[in-house]
Amino acid sequence: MTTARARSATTNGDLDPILRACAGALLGALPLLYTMEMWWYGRVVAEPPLLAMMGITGALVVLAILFGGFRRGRHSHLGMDTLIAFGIGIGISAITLLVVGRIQPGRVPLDAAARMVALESIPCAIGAALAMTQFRPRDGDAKNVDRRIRSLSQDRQKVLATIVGAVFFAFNVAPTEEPWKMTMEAEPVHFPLIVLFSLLVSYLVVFEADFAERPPGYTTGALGNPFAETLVSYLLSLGVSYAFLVGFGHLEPETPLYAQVGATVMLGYVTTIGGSAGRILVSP
Amino acid sequence: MSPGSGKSERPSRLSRNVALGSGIVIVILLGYLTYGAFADGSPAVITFEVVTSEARTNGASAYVPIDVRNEGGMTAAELEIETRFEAGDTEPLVRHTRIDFLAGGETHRIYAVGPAGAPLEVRVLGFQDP
Repeated sequence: MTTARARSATTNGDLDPILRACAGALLGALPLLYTMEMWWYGRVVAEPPLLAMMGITGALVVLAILFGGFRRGRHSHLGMDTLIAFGIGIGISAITLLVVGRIQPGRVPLDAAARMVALESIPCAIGAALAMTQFRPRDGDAKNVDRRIRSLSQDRQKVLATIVGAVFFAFNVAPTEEPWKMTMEAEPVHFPLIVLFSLLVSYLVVFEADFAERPPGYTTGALGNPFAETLVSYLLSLGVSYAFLVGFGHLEPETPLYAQVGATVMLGYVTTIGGSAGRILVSP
Repeated sequence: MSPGSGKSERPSRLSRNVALGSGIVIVILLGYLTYGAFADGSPAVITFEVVTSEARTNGASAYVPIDVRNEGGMTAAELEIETRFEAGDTEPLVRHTRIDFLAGGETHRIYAVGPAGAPLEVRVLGFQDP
């Protein structure tokens, strides 16, 4: 099996990870490519915030590749893997929007099409980066992987993993109207329940569900205690939640504080689970 | 494994080509978005064209396409169009059509359906900034 894979890798060059990246872009972002609010937002968003989002995504893609590990001997080519992940994200986004008719040449102007592609490329690129690294074959492949992220402290790894996971999950929900609608229709008692349930789920997913073995030194550092990790990760997830709500125009400075907090907690449930998933992925 | 301990390995030609192509696409997209940030920010201007050459009838009904276009730079949201068929002595047939978003330069086709042969009047009732 390993020999077959090695032969395959030799004959295919790097075709396999590139195809995996295409698949990951689709698997990770297809719901968003079919989300009406994303097309709308792509039409109305101004270029500066969109460019800022793409810049942040570029950093997240680098982090995802650092977490998942880039190919051995290629540490000087981290930039190459990042380019490939982002380029595939843009390509998959553009092709899908064209094929499903959301971009129709002659009807949708080029600048609106470019904004839609750029916006949709963000989750596609993150999905591609995760797929290039996390979904690769496990049979002996670890030898050929350089996980530079391991040089960071456990605390920093957890923080970064939480942010990457939270952002990836937030992208699937934050653009829609649902979090805001749910916030408006929720009773006040729901919000503390959501907070408690978010913390409970985060703890269960990371520490009780036995998804992955803890690496050596996992319990070191300020976040070595499971409860401290759960709590800090939750606060980080709330931060990501708030940033997405502001970024997608759901929250504005004049939005009442209660609504801002409620919406952040509501979307925070999603980002908390995403953050938990991120910390699981960094564990093996 | 310590970082960078693996033996140095030249990336495959495929990787280099895909990375090069990706880099070009990224630069073009970012460049175009940056250009757009400094380009036309004029307010939305909504125009429409009744495409009579493509109108068709089915029995007593006429299907008349109308191309609604945003000639400005900014996106218009919740654009509302009124179509009115004047049918002799009877009550005019009035329909309202809403277009959620119309980006600057974008064209959206709607159809007015009414009695064949009746004169059609189209009006833009209003829109919002997104």
